[in-house]
Order: sequence, then C-alpha cells, then structure tokens
Amino acid sequence: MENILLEIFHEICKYVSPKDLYSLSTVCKRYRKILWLTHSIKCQNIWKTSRQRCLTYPNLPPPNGWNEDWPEQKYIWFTLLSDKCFICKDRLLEKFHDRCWEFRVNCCKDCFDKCAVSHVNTKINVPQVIYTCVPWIRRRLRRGQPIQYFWTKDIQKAYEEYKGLGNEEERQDWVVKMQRKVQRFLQEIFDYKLQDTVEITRDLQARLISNNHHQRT
Amino acid sequence: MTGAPEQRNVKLTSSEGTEFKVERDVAEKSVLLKNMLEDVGESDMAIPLPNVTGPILQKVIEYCIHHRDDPVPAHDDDTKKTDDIDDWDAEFCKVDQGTLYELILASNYLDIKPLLDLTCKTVANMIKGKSPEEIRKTFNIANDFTPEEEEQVRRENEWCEGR
Repeated sequence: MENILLEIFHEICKYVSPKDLYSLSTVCKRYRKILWLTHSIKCQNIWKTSRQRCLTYPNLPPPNGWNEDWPEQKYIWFTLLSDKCFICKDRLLEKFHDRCWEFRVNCCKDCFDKCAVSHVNTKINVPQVIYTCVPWIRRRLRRGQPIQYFWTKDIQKAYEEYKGLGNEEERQDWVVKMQRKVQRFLQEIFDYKLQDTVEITRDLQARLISNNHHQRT
Repeated sequence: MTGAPEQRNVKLTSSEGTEFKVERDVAEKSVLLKNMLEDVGESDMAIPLPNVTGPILQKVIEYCIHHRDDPVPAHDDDTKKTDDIDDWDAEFCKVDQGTLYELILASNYLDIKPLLDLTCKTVANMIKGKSPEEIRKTFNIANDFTPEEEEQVRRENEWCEGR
C-alpha cells in the first residue's frame, strides 16, 4: 500500500471519513503529500467528497475566511475534530460554546480574556478607526450589557497594515475597504453560526431520544 | 434481427496466457470488455488481458457470475456507504492484501464499477477508526517522518498557527 497507484488511492479515499483522512495524512510522507495540499482542487475534492458522504455536519462549503480561504482540512478541524482551546491547548468541554467564528478560534474563557479586548477598556494604543476594520463579537461577560470584543492580534495586524500606507488618502481608502470586508465576513459567518445552532439542536434531540429509549427498555 | 440474442462465450487470456471462457453477459459486467465486444462484434479470438493474472481473473469472473443479474448501477449513485456490503461480497473480499490490491487494479482496468467500489470500501473499512500507527501496522507502511517532521505535521494538523 506504500506504493499504491495515485488513482487507486483517490478511489479508496472516497470511502474514508474526514476523521480517518486525518489519520491517513500522518501515516507517511507520500500520503501527506497527497492529502495535505490546500490549493489543489483534486486534493480538496477528496476531502469534500468524504465530508459530504460521511457527514451531515458541516454541510456548507468551507468559508472564505478573514485573511485566507479555508481549505477543507481546516474546516473539518475547526468544526468537528478539534476539542482543545487553540491557545492554551486545554480540553474544551463545550466545544460549540467556546467557538468564535469571528476570531477563527475555539478558545476557553481564560484565553478569550487574554486575547480579546473590548472597545472601551483596551491597553493597545491604536487609532479608534482601526476598531472598525477588524471582526468583532458581542459578548456578555458576567452581568450587564453585552460588550463588543476584538481579537488583539487582528487589531495589531490591521494597525501594521494601516501604518505601512503612504498617505492619508490611501489610509482612508484602506479603511473603507476593510470596513466592507468586515461586513462581508460577519455576514458570511452568520450562516456558519446558524449551521452550528442547527447541529447543537439536532445533537440535543438525538440525546433526548436515546435517553428516552434507554429509560423505556 | 429480433429476439433474444444467442449467448456466446467470450474467451479471455490472462497475463500468463491461461484461457478463460465466460458467457457474454458475464464478460459485459466489464465496461472495457463490453465496449470491445461491441466494437469488434462476434469473434472467436481470445481477448488478451496482459494486466490481469490468472488467479485474479478467476476471482473477477467469480464476482461477475454472482452479480450477473444485478441491475446496471446508476451513474455516481449513492453507493458510497461502507456498511452496505452483503455477506457474499464480504466473504469474497476475505483475501490477503496483495490479492485485494490486485483486485482493485483489475476492476479499475476492466472498468467494473461495483467491484471497484466493493474492494475500495473494504480497504476503507480496514482504515476506519485506526490511529496512524495502527494504519502503518495494518498495511506494513514504514514511518518515514523524522521526529522534527512529525512535530511539524502535528502542528499543521491543529491549524493554530499565529492565533
């Protein structure tokens, strides 16, 4: 199987689930090379076929993302396979609850506090306009009104870009462009959050039904 | 000409030169042979199959005879589930890995879609739920990653870079 024909390998992969494709992709260098291309249509199709055939969730195609397109592999990891905080690597108990599409992370509360900043209470010194150029999330931490949060690294990156621009006019154009991009991005991930909600509900229903079943038998 | 066509035998020759006689409808399970027979018409000439050995051809014929009355599968139908293998098919696939791989190659070459699906599903089931190390053991594959490369792969798999 080490020297298996590529054509046959592709044929077999049609029947392998995304989770098993992950295992397969770390078996040896050759398999890695075949399965870990993020910009090859052929490779993406292997993952897509596997996802569509084996899974009901996630069902939407991978998102366009904030700074880069999401390959199928990343999409599967983010939605399905990862069960740890992306920052501290501690296990997450409620994966969906700790998911932030806005910041492209699954992240625990402690790390959220460390990595995200609110509009009003920030230690980063950047022009206010930068805050309109990055994705944000509205969260209610403890009691009170929900507050807008931003991912510190997004702000820093945006500020770097902003600073690198030659003159005021270019900066204004950039700001407009970024504001549109934020709007598009937040609109896009809305569908993915909805998809998660549907999945949570479905999962809950399945658990209820199986509980009921156990009680009866 | 009308009416049911007379069943004629088709002769096939394996890579070692062994001749096999099969009925036409059995041979036509292979799209390759079906097209050939349609192009060539009736002929007593044996069709050479230089890519298929005798024992494998024997197995393939066994499969085609068992499934001779199956309906022609619809194009790209929903047969991609791996748990719908019936008992006869499962028994048929209880062969060593070398033979299984040869069967995949033969069904691919002869273009017998249901057999290709069956054999590929069988391999996929051998992968199912296994860790990378277990997959290596099952298929006798050497781990050719250095420890550093393995670490790199692990990091890539987690998609956390720069977050």
